[in-house]
Amino acid sequence: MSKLPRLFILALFFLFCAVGFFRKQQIQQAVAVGPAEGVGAHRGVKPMPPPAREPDVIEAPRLFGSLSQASSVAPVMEEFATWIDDYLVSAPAHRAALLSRGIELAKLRRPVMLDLIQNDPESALALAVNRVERVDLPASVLQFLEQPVSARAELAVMQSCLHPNGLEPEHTHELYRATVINDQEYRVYVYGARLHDASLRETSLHGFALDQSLAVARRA
Amino acid sequence: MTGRPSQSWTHGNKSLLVILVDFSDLTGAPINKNGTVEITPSLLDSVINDSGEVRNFLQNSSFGKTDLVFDSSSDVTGVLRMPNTAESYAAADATTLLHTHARAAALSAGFDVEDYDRVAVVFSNLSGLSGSKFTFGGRANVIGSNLWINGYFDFRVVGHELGHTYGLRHSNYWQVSGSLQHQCGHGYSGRRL
Ligand SMILES: [Zn+2]
Ligand SMILES: [Zn+2]
Repeated sequence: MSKLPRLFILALFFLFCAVGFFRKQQIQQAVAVGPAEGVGAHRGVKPMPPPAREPDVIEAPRLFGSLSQASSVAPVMEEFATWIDDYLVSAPAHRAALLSRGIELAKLRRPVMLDLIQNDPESALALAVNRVERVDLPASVLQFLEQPVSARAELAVMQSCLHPNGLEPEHTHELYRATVINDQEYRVYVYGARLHDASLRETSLHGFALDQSLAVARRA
Repeated sequence: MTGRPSQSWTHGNKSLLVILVDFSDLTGAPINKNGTVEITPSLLDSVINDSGEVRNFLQNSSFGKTDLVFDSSSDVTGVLRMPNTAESYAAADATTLLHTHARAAALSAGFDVEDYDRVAVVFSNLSGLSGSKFTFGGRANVIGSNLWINGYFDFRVVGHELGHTYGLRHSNYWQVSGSLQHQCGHGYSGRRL
C-alpha cells in the first residue's frame, strides 16, 4: 500500500476515535462551565452521537476469579496464623520444636499469598504478617514471607501494546501497574480509590511484596 | 485525578523529549525495525514533524487543542548507555526501571527531563534476546508522561503510544473482550471501522 492512502485511512480512523474522546471532554467541559467555552472551535463539525461510556476505573480485567480459588486454599493461611500465635507465646526453649512446621507452612502459604497479592490485594494486605509479628519470627521463616514495603515512588499505569514485529495489525494488549523502588521494578496491584488513579510520578506506597509483586494499600 | 484525564493534561502544547539508549551488550544507535537504518535525530524529526505524521495527527485529531513540540536539535539526547544489560531489562520485563535509568542518564547529560510533558525512551528491538519479555512494539503510561519504543519508531507505534499518554485507551477505540490479553485485531488499517 502506498504511503498517502494508508496515512489518510489511518488519520480518518484516529479522527473517528478521537472525535468521540474529545467530544466527551467537551461535553464535560460544557457541563462544567456552560456552553460558551469550547464549542465555538468546533463550529461546523457535525456532532457525533455520544460514545459509549467507558468505565472510570483503570483496571486490568482479572484473569482468574481468584477469590473462590483463594478461599479453597485458605486453610494454610489459617494454619500459619495459628502457628505464629503458638510460636510467639511459646517460651524460647520450646520454639525450636515448632520451627520445622513453621517453615513447612510458610512454604505452602507462599504461592497462596502471591496469588492474593496479584488477584485480591486487599485480602492479601489483611492477611499479611504484620511488622510486630515479624520482629519475633526467625529468618528461616521470614525468608518465605511477604516483605513490608514503604516508599514514595512512581506508580505508573502501563499499557503494553504487543505489536508483533511492530507492524502486524493483529496484536494484543496488557494493562498493568508498575513502580521502581530501590532500583527494583515491581508489578503493583491496587484496589479501592487507586483503581481510578492515572499514572502518578510520585505517591506514597505502603504494602507487601513477594518477589516482584507488590500489593499496595488504599491512599491515606 | 480520575480515570479521565484533566483538561490541562490533554490540552495545549506538549513538549517531547526522546532519550536514545544503548546497552553494554547491544551498543550503538538504536536500529529501526530490525533493519539497517539507525534511529537518528533526523529520522525522529521526519516521523514526528513531517506533514501528515505524528504531530499533524495529534493536532488534527484534537481539533487543534493540543500540539506536540519536538525540536530534533534540542529535544533528543545522544545515545546514552544504560547501567544494566539489554538482556536483563528484557528478561525481567523491567520497562519502568529502564525508563527510570534513562531519565537519570538524560538528567546527567544536561537535559531538564522533568520539564518535559512526554518522555520517550527509544531502543533497538529487544524481542529477540534470550528470555526477552520485551515483545511489545510500544508501551506507554495511561495518562502519564512516559512511553517506550521497542525498535519501531514509525507513525503507527509512536502515534498510538502518544495517544495512550493522553488517556486514549483501547476501550475508546475497540471492543474489549474481557480478558487481560485481548486480541483486538483492529489494526491501524481501519478495517474494524
Ligand atoms: Zn495500545
Ligand atoms: Zn490493538
